[in-house]
Amino acid sequence: MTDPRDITPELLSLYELSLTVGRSLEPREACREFLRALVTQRNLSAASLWWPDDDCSGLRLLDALPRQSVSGDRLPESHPLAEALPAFVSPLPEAILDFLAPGLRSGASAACTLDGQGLLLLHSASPESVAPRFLAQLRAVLAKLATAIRGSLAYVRLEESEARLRQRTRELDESRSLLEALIEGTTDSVFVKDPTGRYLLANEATCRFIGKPRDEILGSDDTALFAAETARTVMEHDRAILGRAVVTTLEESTVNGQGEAAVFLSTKGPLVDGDGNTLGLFGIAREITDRKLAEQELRKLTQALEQSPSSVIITDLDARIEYVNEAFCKITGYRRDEVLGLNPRILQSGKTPRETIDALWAALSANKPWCGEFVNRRKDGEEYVEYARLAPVRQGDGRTTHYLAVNEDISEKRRIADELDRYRNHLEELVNLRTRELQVASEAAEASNRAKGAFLANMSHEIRTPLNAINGMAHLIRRDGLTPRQNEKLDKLVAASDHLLEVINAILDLSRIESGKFTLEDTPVDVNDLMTSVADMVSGPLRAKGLALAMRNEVPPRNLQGDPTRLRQALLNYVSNAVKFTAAGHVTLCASPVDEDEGSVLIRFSVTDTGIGIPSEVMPRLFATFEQADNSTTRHYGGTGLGLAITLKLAELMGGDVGAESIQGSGSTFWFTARLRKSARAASRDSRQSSEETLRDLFPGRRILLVEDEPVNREIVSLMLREAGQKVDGATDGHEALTLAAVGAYDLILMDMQMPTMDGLEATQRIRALPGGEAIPIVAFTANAFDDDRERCFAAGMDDFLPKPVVPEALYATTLKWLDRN
Amino acid sequence: MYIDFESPDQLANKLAALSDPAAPPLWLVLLADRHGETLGEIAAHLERAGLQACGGVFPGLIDGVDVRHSGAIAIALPAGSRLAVADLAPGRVAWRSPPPDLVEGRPASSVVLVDCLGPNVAGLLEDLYDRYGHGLPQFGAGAGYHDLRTAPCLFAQGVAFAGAALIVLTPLPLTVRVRHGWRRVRGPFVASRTQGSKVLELNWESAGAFYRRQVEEENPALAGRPVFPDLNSTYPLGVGKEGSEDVIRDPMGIDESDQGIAFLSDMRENALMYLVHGDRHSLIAAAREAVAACGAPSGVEACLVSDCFSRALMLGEAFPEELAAVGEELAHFTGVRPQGVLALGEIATDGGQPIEFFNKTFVVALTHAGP
Repeated sequence: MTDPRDITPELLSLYELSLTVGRSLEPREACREFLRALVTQRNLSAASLWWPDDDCSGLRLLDALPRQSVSGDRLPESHPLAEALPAFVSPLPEAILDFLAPGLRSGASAACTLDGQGLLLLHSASPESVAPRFLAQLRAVLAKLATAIRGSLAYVRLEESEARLRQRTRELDESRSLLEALIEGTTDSVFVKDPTGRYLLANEATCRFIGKPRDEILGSDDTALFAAETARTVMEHDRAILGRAVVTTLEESTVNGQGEAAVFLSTKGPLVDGDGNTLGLFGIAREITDRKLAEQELRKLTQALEQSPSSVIITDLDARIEYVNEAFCKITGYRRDEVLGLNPRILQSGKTPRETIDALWAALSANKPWCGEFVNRRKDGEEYVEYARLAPVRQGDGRTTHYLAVNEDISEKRRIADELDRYRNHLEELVNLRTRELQVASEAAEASNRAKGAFLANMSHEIRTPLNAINGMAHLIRRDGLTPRQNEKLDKLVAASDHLLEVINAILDLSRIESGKFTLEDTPVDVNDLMTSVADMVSGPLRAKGLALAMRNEVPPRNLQGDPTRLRQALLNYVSNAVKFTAAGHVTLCASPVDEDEGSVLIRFSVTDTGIGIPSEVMPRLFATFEQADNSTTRHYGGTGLGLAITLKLAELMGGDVGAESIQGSGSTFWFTARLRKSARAASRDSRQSSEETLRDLFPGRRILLVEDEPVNREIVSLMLREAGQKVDGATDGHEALTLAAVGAYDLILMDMQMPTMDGLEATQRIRALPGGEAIPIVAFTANAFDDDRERCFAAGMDDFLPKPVVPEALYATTLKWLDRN
Repeated sequence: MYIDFESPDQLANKLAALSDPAAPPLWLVLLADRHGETLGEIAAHLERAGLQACGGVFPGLIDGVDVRHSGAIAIALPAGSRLAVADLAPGRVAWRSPPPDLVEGRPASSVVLVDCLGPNVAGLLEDLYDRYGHGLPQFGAGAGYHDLRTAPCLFAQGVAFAGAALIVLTPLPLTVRVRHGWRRVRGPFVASRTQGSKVLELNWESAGAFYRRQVEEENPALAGRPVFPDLNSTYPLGVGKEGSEDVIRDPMGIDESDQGIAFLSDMRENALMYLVHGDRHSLIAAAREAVAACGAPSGVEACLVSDCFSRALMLGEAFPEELAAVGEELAHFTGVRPQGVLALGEIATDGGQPIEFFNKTFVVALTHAGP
């Protein structure tokens, strides 16, 4: 076995320990290798290594085995262990042991320095493990360990330094990349120039604006890149900024080499190195051309807004005023700073209707514009009326951010309007007054007219009734045979009667036409027959004056419809005048078509005479009512003066016109036109046999009831009918007629209208109610010749209408018509 | 206590019957390696039975003077004992959950079981040393199979695993003593080149040839005999340690490719090594001495032993004598019988030294009421 004095085991132990030194550059790992070998080899319960802080303020733990053996990782400078550094200490004081190995009170402990710098603490259950001899042996190893620790710490510091350097480099690289990304990525122009103005740096935006590649820009100055004026201005700016050595922001208007103009907001300043030397000039320029234009536009709009005569208010969504224009201040009297932030309700007078305010907010809440009127109050308390247009202000994304009100002070307009209203109201009152007056006048006129109508009707009735007797009697007298002298006198009597009847009829016609109650018949018309009958009617006077009558009908034979009675009347008017005013010569009657369409023909009837003629100054008023060429002629030639007026009215009613040409002393031509409807019906030819003869031949002894209160008329008509072979019963009023009709079988009843006790209308109605009464023809026989009367008769149940005074042919024709129908 | 059982179910039932419902223990279950194939089932059954249990398999069980090759030694660690499991990898110890803090509950000792064929056993022990320091008596054993096969040999929390370690911190006061009875016959040698658990060079020579030469010179009768089990059984190597017995390292064989000597635990490079030798007398005396060194504490409740399987192999038929000697020595101050394992490496510290992994060593731990 080994000799106890053999130091080989000790050497080998030291050898093992020394070989653990420097095996790692990491300080803790290097320490751990040493401690692991030491603890295991020496059977220690704990060991730890300590090293001064960088600032030598104390010792910090490098490593301990086990780690749990130390309660802290730093020994403060004041610690006894730290003070004991220069020498080995063994055994350790309890205070140190408490720190080193709390709970360990047995065994041995020791501390030794690492080359006078660090500290090794040892603890073992066995004192031999930390014997002084071993500690002495350990000294050289610990010196090597200290060097290794210094080396590893330096290595760590170097590593840390390199890591920091790498980190710094990385940060610089990142910073540089970031800067480059910023410079190249920004849309702003970024550039650097040397003190002489040559470009050292130009980013993409700079190149884009200058319009040249970067390699052409770098090294060039502005004179090579910009228009001359721009280059001169920009370089002056640059020199001034370098001279002042102050960062400056200014607007620069530029024109590049391609002639493109732009405005830039440029920030320029001197580029200075760490020693304060000026390296050049840096610049960041943002093109603001569009912004300048927008500013100009905005300025224009703002000025327009400011100078608008209308009051403009802009509020936020909570109705806080953000803007008012000058007009607002003028109108309201408030200063701008007084109202900003306030609600426009400060203007409210309390007189704006609640509904108006509600409607306003309902519209705005629905994002709709609104307009209406406010009664507002100025700052001085004066009320005024505003017409307001309010609208939500919507942004591009559709959000409503503000409300806009454009208000107009309409107080003056309102005052004028009110005044106009007052005038208008007054005018309306006047109009209403006048209207009422006119209404009264009109009603009076109508009443007067009605009175006139009633008078005319009564007059007509009252004249016709005796005329009926006169004519009838003359007719009957003539049948009895007369001497020539008596015959002549009877002719004059009949002529006077006819003239009177003519006057009455003319007056009645005119009255009917003017009252619009004149109705035309629509029956077949034979122009030839018409002209012939007129000629027949004036044949007597013609012969008496020795005048010749010529007729010329140019109307082609065809079926036409119209009112032959009125045509005859109109034509007879002209022909009678012609005969009347022609002393010698002839009268020519003509008819010719002047116009034709699908349904009608316009026929011109004219009468030409060789009479006295008409003065030209009279011609314009020839067709006026109550006019004659010379009123004195009325006395000389007679006549009502209504004939031409009636002809005019009739022609107009028949869709035609009238006219006259005349040469005084030579004669005249009067014409009228009338539109006749084309028809398939032909006009019936007049039977050459008279109605009286037909009655007598075909219907002898028929029973006719004549109801007439006037005894003379009843007698005359009875006689006339009996002359025609008929049996006639007379009744004096409606009652008697009803009684007779109830018991007698009459073939025809002629019924007067106006009668005492029971008039003809009621009698007719009651006869119709009798058994078989509905079949008896009842013909009105009345001096009530108006159309109204005719209608009333038909309404009461009568079948026909025969006006008084009786014209014998008409009486016979009507009687024949109804007997034949029965 | 020793429990014989035929099935995992049966073991679970028996342990359940033994458990105090009011203070359920953490069962440390040391199994004979014939139960290794059902280790997973056993772990699962114990878990399903609601038992807190952990343990491992070993080449043999010590029950008094008997060595058993079936059944289990079950030790009820008191309530408050806390378990942690670490997975071992080269250069790394990975705790599955944070290991219990030493301060919590003031544990009085710990039990450590480690897969003896797992990597980085030295790293685990250094971790435990760093973490718990000195002052904590620790007792443990290397688990595994008698034929050194690689298979799950530990279990905890219902599962079996390999390449790992488990530690139970307990409030049990524990007196731990370590003795081996081997003495230096040659040396010192320098383990001039090592690689993990293999020594490649001794005294800058090929380790295998150097070792064989040293043994053969010491005992020519062993010339040409295999390292395992002939040379190593009587001439293992020891790592020199000041102030205590050398730490025995059992050469398991010589790697023909590099002539390195394989050990069951990491070898420190440049460590001083000695060729050591022992016989039945020195080894049994050492075991007796270990028990005696416990100082006859009062109130002993149990005697746990971790005896090396290769030591039993070396003693052979004399091994019961060692157990008998331990029993005799115990009988001086307690009536408890030794119970424990034949381990593939023993783990121990009495609290005054770094925790160490031993070979061919006898470790005794007495649990008792107080110090």
